[in-house]
Amino acid sequence: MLPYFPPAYPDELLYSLLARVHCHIGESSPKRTLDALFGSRSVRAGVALQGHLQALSERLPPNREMTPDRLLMQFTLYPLLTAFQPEEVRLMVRDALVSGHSDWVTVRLGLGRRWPISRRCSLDAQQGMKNIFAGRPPSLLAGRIPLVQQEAPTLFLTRIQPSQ
Amino acid sequence: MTTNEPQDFQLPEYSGNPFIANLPPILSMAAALNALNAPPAFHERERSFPDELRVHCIQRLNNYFLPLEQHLKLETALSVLIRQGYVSRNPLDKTYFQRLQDGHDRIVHKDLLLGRQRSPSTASSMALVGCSGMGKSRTVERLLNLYPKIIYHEAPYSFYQIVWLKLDCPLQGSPKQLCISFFQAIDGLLGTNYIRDYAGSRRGLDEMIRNMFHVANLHAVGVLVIDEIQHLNQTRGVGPDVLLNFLVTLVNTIGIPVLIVGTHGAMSVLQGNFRQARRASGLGGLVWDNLKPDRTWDHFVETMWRYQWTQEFTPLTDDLRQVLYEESQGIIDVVVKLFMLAQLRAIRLRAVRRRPEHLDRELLLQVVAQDFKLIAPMINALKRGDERALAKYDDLRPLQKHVQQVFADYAPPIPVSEEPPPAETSQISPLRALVAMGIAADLAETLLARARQEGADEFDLLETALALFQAGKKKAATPKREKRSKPEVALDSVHGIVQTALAAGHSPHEVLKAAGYVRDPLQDLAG
Repeated sequence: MLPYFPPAYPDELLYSLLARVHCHIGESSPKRTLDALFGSRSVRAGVALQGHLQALSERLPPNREMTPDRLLMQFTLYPLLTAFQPEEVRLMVRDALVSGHSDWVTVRLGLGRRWPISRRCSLDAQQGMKNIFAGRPPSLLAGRIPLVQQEAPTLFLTRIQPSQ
Repeated sequence: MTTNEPQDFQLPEYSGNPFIANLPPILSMAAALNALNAPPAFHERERSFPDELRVHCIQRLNNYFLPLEQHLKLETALSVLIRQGYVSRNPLDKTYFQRLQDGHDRIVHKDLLLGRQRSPSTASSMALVGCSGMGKSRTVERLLNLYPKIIYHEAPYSFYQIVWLKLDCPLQGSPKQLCISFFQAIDGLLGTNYIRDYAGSRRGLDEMIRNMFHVANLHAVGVLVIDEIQHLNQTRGVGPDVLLNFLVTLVNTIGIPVLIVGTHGAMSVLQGNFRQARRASGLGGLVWDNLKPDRTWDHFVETMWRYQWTQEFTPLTDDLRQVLYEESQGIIDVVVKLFMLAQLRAIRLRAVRRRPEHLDRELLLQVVAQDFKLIAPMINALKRGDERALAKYDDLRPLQKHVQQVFADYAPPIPVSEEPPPAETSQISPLRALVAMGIAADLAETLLARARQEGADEFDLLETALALFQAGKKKAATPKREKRSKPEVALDSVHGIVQTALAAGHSPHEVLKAAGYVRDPLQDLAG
């Protein structure tokens, strides 16, 4: 079990949560963080989707009830990205993400390498940071979804690049 | 305002902080007394138990603890130290979060002093300095044990809070060694593997310190106790300042309270470093000198005196009280050990010599003469009030080992049967021992007789006899010859006359002349 795990904000992506773990445990090597989280250094952290959820779930504090399915449904874009897929594909993708071996998933779901996941709402981002420093949870996920419009209509490109 | 409802004494700055709210409640004076008190188990009827059982009973005094005023003071100070240190670290507001963020920045930018302004620290440090044997380490340990060592927090952050961590000061004062002990202690507590991650052989000192500070922050260490700080006296090369500065940074920048414990030998180190002295006096540096012969001392001795496992109870007289103080100089550990050894000796003397089992001045002084040689320099320094000598000799560990040895060596005299007279029972074991060592039985008997002549104590008999044996068999055999030749001297023989003359102080020549053995040469000439 991880000796430390921070609280998750509502609508937060797993990528963001794990990045916070990396920061908070004072780790300077991403490889070691991956080792601590997934028990393997070859796992890739993804922004929209995340594989190896079973391994991750086993290392999280049990009282947080972060089951693989809950991680999938609440902390990744899986529900959104599979909304228009047939049941069969949805289940295949789910199994792949939970157990690992998920290299083919992005292609199968029709996501290109340059999928604009890094677009985010500026106002939303500012408010989010303000919330964090006031000790309140920010709202994050909505700002990351291309078709969702927040109060500010203009989206801008951040410097954060999705991993692969 | 008068209400019958139970009053809520909670302080808002404490109850709103999970780090503090999950600690046990702040103890009242009476509760603290109760929690610290550790009287040995004692029953009146145990006094009539067989010797070998009573020897074990006396051992209970080893763990005897009577809380005194100074212990309560330390309890309050520690309670304040821990709680105040947590005031500026609260997982429910941004403070804890910000500290973690700062810690990461420090590690990434390799700068220890980043983020000082953002998260001010409410931590302070404290020093506890005192004579060896005043129970510093034990008291601190007992006080710390009133708190849980680790607390698991479920939400919002899921992690282990480490309320206290006690480490010994590294032998050569190296901060690197302290970091390694720190990681090891945490790994032992939480099952983490920080040693592998942060204390590898290729890690530099600065990197290790940054990581240690961060881990201390992450697990919200309540107080870091560094014991045996006098080891800093033995630092070579860099000197004690490196480790002290390290601790000061830990308190000021990282916000972890530190409690330093050491003997008087540490005084020079702590005073030499001005900053440390200032911080150490921030919450009151406590100094535990030897007890003065006042009410506290009387209270302690009177309470201790009840626990006698000797067959008869000796009331505490002023005379005994004086000896106890004089020989222990108010050092708690010494007086307890003196009391234990005196009881052991009383039990043995009864078994060997049929001496009634009571404690008196002579018995106590015998124990001091025999068993307290090791700490004589320290007691003398205390008597003289010589602080420099005290700093040099301030270590009671040899005594503790010696006392353990004395109890371990205790072998009850072998009771052959009830018939043989007591004098013989005592002879049996030394004689047998000598024979077992390969010394002939008759020689062994002579040796023992000689040893007894020289006034050797029952306990030293064997030792003295062996010393005589070492000195040479001839010497040991001499008494036999003397005994034989003495009665053969006739009083009217030359030998006898000379001896009596010498004994009377006359010139042997004159006396022999008067007896007609020597003729005057002048008379020969005249004749």
